[in-house]
Amino acid sequence: MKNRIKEFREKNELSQGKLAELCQVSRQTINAIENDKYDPSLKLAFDLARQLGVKMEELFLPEGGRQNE
Amino acid sequence: MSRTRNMIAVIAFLAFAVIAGFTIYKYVRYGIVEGGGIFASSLAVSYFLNWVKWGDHEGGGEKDELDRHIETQSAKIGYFLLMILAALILFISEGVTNLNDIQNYPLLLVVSLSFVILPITELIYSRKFKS
Repeated sequence: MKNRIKEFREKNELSQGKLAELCQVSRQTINAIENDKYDPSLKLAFDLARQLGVKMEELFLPEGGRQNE
Repeated sequence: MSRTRNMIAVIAFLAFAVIAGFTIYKYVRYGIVEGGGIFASSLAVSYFLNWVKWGDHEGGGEKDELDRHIETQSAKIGYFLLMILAALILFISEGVTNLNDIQNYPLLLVVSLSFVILPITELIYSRKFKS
């Protein structure tokens, strides 16, 4: 699933490692999600949205759907 | 990888190399097939690979969700690989392609069971989620 994690992470001036630490996962997990290699669990998706201060719908883009601004 | 972890990985690999090497030597030199040596070297290589990947010789340790996903998918792929390898070993060792000509009934049973075990397990495990 496409996502805007990297965009919002950089806006919040967070490294992958720091975001991983805040969400209690490994840096490799964050990297895999950002590169569309792995879709996070619901819990992790919620944690990511909360830590980045955005809604889940803004963070994750459905396949073939339009991006909401 | 930390220095200690590297050292342990090297030791585990050396243990595998010694056991496997000794087993191969006994076969080549004396024509003796040591089942214990084959089994022990398999255990040693599994310890080595587990240590390299997970930092624990039995594959335990703390895992996050990506690690658990890797574990689950690898188990599925490994199961099917083992099924194929067992079937290959059966046909190659028997030297026949007709199932009725096969004499190694235990291995034939294992190969046959490998087709059945997964659906049975799925059936039983799925009951956990049904009310």
